[in-house]
Amino acid sequence: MSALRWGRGAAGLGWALWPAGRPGLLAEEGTLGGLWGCRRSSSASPCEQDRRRDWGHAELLEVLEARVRQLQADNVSEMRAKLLDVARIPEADGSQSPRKVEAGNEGAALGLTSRWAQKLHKEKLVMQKRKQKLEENLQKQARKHQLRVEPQLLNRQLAGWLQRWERSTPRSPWEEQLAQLLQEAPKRLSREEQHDQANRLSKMRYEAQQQRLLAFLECCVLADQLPLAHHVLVMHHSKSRQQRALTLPMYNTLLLGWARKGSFKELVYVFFMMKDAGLAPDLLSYAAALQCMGRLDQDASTIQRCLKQMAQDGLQLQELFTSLPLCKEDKAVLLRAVRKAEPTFLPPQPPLPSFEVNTSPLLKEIYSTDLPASFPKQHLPLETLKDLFRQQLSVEMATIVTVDSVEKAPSLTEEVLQARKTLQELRTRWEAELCLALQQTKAREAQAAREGRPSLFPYLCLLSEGELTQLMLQTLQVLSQQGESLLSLAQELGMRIFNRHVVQRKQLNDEVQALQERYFKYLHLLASDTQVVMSRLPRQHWEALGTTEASQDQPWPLTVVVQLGKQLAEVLVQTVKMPSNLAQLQDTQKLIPVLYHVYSFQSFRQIGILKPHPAFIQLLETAAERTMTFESAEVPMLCPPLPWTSPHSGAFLLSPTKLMRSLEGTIQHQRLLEGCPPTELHGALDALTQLGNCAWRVNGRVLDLVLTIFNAKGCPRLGVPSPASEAPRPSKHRLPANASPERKTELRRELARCLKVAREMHSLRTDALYRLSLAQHLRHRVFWLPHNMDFRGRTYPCPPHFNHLGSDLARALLEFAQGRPLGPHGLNVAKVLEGFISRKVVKQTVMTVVYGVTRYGGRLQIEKRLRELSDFPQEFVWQASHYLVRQVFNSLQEMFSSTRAIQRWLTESARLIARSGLAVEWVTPLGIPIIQPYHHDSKVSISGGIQSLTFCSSGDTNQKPNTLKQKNGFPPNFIHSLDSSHMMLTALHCYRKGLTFVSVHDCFWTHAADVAVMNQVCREQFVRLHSQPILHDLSRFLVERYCSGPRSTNAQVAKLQEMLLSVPKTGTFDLDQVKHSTYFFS
Amino acid sequence: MWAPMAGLSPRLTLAAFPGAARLCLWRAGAARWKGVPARNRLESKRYILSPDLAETMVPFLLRNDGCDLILEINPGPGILTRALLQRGARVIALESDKTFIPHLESLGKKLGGKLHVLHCDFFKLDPRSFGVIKPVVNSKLLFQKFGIETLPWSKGIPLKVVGIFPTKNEKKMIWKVLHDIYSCTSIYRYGRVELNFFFNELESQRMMANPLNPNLYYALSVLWQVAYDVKLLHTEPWSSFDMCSQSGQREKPESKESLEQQTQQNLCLIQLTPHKDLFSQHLTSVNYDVFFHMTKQCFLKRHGKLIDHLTSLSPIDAMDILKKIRQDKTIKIIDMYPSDFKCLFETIECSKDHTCKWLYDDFMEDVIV
Repeated sequence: MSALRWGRGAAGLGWALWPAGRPGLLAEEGTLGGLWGCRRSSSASPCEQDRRRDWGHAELLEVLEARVRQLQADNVSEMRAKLLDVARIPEADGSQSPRKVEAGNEGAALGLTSRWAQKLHKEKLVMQKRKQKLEENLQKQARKHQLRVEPQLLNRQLAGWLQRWERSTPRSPWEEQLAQLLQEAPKRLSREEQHDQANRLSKMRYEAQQQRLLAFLECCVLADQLPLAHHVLVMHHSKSRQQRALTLPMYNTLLLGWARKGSFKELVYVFFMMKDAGLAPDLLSYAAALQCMGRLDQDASTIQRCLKQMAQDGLQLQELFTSLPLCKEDKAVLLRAVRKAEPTFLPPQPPLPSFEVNTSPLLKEIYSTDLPASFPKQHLPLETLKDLFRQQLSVEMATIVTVDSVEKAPSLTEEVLQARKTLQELRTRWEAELCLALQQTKAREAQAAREGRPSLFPYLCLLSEGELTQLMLQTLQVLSQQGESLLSLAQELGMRIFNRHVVQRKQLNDEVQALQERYFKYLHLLASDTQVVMSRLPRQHWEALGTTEASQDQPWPLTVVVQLGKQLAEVLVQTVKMPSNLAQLQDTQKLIPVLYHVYSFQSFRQIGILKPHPAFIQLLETAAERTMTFESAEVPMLCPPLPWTSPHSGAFLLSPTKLMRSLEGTIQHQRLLEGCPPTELHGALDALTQLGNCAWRVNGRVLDLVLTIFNAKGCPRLGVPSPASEAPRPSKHRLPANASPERKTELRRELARCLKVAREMHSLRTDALYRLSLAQHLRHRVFWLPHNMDFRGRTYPCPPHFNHLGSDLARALLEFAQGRPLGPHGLNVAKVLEGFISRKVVKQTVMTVVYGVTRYGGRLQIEKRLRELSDFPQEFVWQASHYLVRQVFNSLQEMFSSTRAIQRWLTESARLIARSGLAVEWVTPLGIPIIQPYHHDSKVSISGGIQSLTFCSSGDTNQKPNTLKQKNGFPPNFIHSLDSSHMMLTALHCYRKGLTFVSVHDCFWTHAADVAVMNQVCREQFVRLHSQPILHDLSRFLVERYCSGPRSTNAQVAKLQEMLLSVPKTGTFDLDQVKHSTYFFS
Repeated sequence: MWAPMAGLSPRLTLAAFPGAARLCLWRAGAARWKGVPARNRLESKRYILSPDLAETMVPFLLRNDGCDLILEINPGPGILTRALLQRGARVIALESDKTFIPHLESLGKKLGGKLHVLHCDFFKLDPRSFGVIKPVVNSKLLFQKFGIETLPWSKGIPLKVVGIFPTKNEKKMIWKVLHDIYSCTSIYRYGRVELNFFFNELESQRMMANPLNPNLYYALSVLWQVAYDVKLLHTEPWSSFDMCSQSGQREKPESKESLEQQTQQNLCLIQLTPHKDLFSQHLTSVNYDVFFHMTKQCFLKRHGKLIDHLTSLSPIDAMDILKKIRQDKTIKIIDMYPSDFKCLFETIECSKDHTCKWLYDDFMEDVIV
């Protein structure tokens, strides 16, 4: 494409758009066989290193590998990696001396290929002779690599016990052993801390390791690799140093896994290990034991003994059913076992959904029971909504949505058809090759797991090879010409695998059926033709229809996500190849890689990038396939979203969505939300649920208009971006060879500028293309935009590409599905403020001063605005911007002195809090707990493979808080959280009055006819919110949070307390004026 | 009088110096700079303070090659300035510290008008961030004022720059100089400007390194040597530049080690004369950034083989390239001389049959220094 380097050519100038299908230079392959493709140089596989050592070995290894492949045919594919190891053993010993001589004479040998052939022949003979030996070796190896079942105990007494009992014939029954084990269990729940606090870094690393191991074991259980998990646990347990890293949840994971399978023997082994490790069984361990007994239909006395022991350990039988995250089936089996021992036992009823009500004075009217609950209903009848649910469900089960692009279809010339055919052939080939490569990778990872090394094996087993392959090919398809950083690509791939896995699990667990039943009942509340007796809000109704199961899918550690994605990216880079000349697909052609791993240097950092071969991009462009693929959670929903009931359940039917969005790896928000009383969140949950319940449709006439402009090269002035081909081009005439260096430099700058513009245009165009294609896809349909919030409580629609957030174009495309005629006040909406341009220059700065913008940033903002004014003399920009920012700051200082005092108080408090080692937290007037995720960067690096990746995360709570960000962030974040509270209050009160309401931060929408009502509600709520003693509440909260408990004796804390208690006076602004101000909301 | 001092331990030097320092100051006719507030030690500015050193430097700068226009950076007390003026050179002094300006101006008057003094930081000239810039750091306006003429690249030297390379932001400054010469911007707009800078010893060893001293061989070594003829002229101990130790004021050092490290190091006067044949048909001021990128990427794995690097630099067949530059396929990055890198670049750049020569893309570099 044109964005390729423009500077090249004989004089190093000018450009060439490179024509399609032009033959590439074919080099002789030399000794570098096609098999070894030049791309694999950076892989770290063992045979690769040998190749680097010398060429002789490479040749030989090729032979060996061919042999291995033959052998492999007789074996399961998983044995391959092992085979390679075995095959390499003979090479290392002394009997292979001829090879070493060859290696020494490398130069000579290279020239004489015939001699090589002879030697190869000889080698083959040797190989054949060795075949027998090799296979024997192999069997030996296989035996050695059998998964371990029996534990090796470190406690001699216990080990002797186990051994005696293993050997005794007839064996005493397992249940006897278990009872005995439980009886003499140590009374310790976890190991004492063996780390000194001083060594914080190594402690963190240690904890990360434990977290990874636990995630590995859990994933093994999910992927049905229980024996492997058991093997790994036994391996770790048998070494005293590694055993110390094992925790009770790890043993419990295994116990539960074996219990579900009804494998009593392995279960007892794990109990042996737990005892050996000195860990006391907890409720979950007992649940596993009982479940296993239930499955094996053990007699009542055994179970009774177990229950008795449990009671002696101080564990409550009832709690088995209330406080454990067990699935329905587990609970049923558990109940069966318990009933056997105690036939009269009744499991405690799941606690009825609490109808406790939020007590915040701001929400009193919303939750008062004096009046029936009121909210806008859907305008569709029950049957239609049911049908829509089925459609949405099938979309989410398919996990991806294919959408036709709105770009003009190309005329189907010979060239286009040929390109499509080529692409199709390539994809078919890649699919097979990727599947094979994945199998090999899995075999390697399985081997690593068996040897006790960290491994991705269970994660790779969660999805089928076919699904993984499809995922990789999709990634390849959307890779932009400039490429993408390996880190973000890996993270995205990893997250997609996780999301897909969650969706699949929900399907397997029969959750779909239950969901459908509950949802249909729920629809009675929303549908236009049904009534519900009880007067409830949608969330309350949903809660009344059943209990929400605890989320069982813990997110994987970020390192695992990235590692998994990186592994797949590596497979992609190493496997996907195309012929060097795409014009003729022949098998004899040399294959070149499609993806390249290159580096980019940005100041002092190096960033690894995966970049597609330009010829491949060209092929994609020629083929012009007009379809695009979206994840199902990126597309608006076809039925009303699930109501938000907890921090992790709501919005999409199956795809996991978080109530509070955050960067991957920051968990403190989720933890805080889960920790706070459920009623506190009601305001936020209801507001978000209602925002998502608004039905939308595409404004067809606007879409038609926009599409016409879009396909006629766009019109940036109207907000329809032009294609990158419309970007300004550098002047075309070639420079003379003797042009001055200065002229060349100018040209370089011009080229750089044009490239930059072209790239920006490309990304804008792509954004619009996604938006319009989705709009076209949803035309004639009703759809819903589920909402969630950021960490300050600001609300956002979840689907990223097509929503009401953004430019005028984005908003114009959407309209409320339930149309209502324009009311008498409708005209006011179209009113435009005048004198806008002159205000615009300084408005941004004035607004951001409140948020703590500095003089420097202010100057830049004004400079930018001034540059945008075409009639402003550009040579005065620098002076003028300086002058203006000085003026703005001076006048603001006078006007908002009390605001500045508040800001100073907030900043200082935040500084002292952060200095005391904690992140700033507060609770919004609506009850949402907020914590600022700004910490010092924690660096995690993942080495090995094509590149070691290092990622920084600023949200790691183990790190000290970043004082600068904490203090500078507090005032703006606090104000945003107030704004969002105001928005939610306005929303809830509008719903109370039956209005449709949506918002984008500080811009509220409703039907034109309802504007007057909304306006009034909006002002009332503003006044009510700010009549609260907001700062005093904040001060009280902060004092309690940071200055109580054992900390309070500290001198630093005393200083903080003093600061927190000196709440500044609020301004003398008469809030009632707001009610009458014309421009309060404009 | 100076020579034996250089060998003394820092503490002794301190004890011995006050008198001598004052003496030489009076000789130079400047006492004002004593009032300059002492800054943080590590950031303290260094100046040429020894008249002997100035005498040593003058012949390097004025050698009858037709260019007697010297741009002196941060002359401070003006000891070298004086020596240069006395030999009849034209000197433009760019001083970033206001305190020295009146003194320098009076010096100029005393010595007959061949000195221009300007309050300006040379290392902030022509920032690469293309934004609005203060007029005072625009080299175009500056040079116009002094009537400096542009000479073609193949011709002689229009201007010589002399000074001490800053330790603060050293790497950033080095990249700026390299970008300036390869793109023919800033001072290089006027032709092959010769630089005479004091660098710290390690950096100057790196500048001159090649496969013979692989431990010091870096991407920067290649870029320096391809652009310039790098010559070591003189080595001088660090202490003879330090204003604080010379004048007897001394703050408590932040840490003993860093101070000692610094004091024991020498500064090396390096002459950097741009090569006449730096630019060729294939390496130009338009595509030099690809050359930068290539070199940097190669040195990411310095002990790796070239053939392995080539695959992520260019889609052209690696064996083919190796054949053309007549290198063995076992050659490592560390074994290649700077000229080999230039040759490699030109070979790839001139390969005719390929429409796409590099995997590099403009967006991958942030050239703004």
